Amino acid sequence: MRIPPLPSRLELSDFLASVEKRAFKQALFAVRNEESALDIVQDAMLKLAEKYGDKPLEELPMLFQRILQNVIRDHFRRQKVRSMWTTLLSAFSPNSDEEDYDPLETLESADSEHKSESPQAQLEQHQTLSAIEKEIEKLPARQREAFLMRYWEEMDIAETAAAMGCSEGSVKTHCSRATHTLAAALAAKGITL
Amino acid sequence: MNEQEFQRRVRQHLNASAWNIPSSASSRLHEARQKALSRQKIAVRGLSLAGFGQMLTEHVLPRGKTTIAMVLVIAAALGSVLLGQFQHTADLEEVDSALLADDLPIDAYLDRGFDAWVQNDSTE
Repeated sequence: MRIPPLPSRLELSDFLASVEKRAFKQALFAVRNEESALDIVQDAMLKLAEKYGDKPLEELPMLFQRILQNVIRDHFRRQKVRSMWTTLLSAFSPNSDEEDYDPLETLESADSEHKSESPQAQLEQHQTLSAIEKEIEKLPARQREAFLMRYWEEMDIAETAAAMGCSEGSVKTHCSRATHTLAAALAAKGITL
Repeated sequence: MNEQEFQRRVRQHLNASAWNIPSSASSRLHEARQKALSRQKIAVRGLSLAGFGQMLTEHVLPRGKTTIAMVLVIAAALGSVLLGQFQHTADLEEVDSALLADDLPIDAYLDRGFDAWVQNDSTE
């Protein structure tokens, strides 16, 4: 019986290097905060190496995506619990100096930071990219996951379904809806790719 | 533009964006990768238990249906032998009790003369 090749340290390193930037962007689309996105990618990498470091190389993309999506969901769960406690505690200390968490504020600051970094020469491309990223952020989470795994990570339908824990039919539906929503939103802004 | 072309162009833009992430983020990702690699799980092959698991995975499980059928046949044969033995023992008990009942009518136990005869008979 053929034993599938297990990843050496170098191969795992190459795999992580090839996916880490895209994983960071994926996490950033979801949580819209650079620090949180970096923490999420770090957690996902650690979990992959610790639990699945001995799995065959060809299984790693699907496993990594599944872990990444789970870590993103855990992040939202923790954030929900934290915000609940913050609300409860702030009710007991009305004079607290800490400001309430406002996701829109975070989004705004992240955007302005991004704008200031963009080179003037690539303004048009940057604007297009910025529009694409904003529209991807706006997609429902499951549609975004399916779209990015299929068309950015270039995973096939079966792998995407396994990573998302849903049927192949659902993956096709999510991808189709995401593509149409994105195309319509960009067309409405007068952006042609 | 068809869907595939649209998806291809979105991918190009996203790739460009991923390669232009801030250097601080790049170095954090590099550190995270090194940390993860230092904790890589290494496959253990050759240990007795791991070998047993491997044998199960490679030899027994792929022939699951045959193995299950064989186990069922053996269990059925053992069951039938055990059942036969129980049945045989029960038959013997029945015969013994019938013989005993025939040899000694129950009234004999109530007869004082019979009791005396048994006492005398055993002392001779």
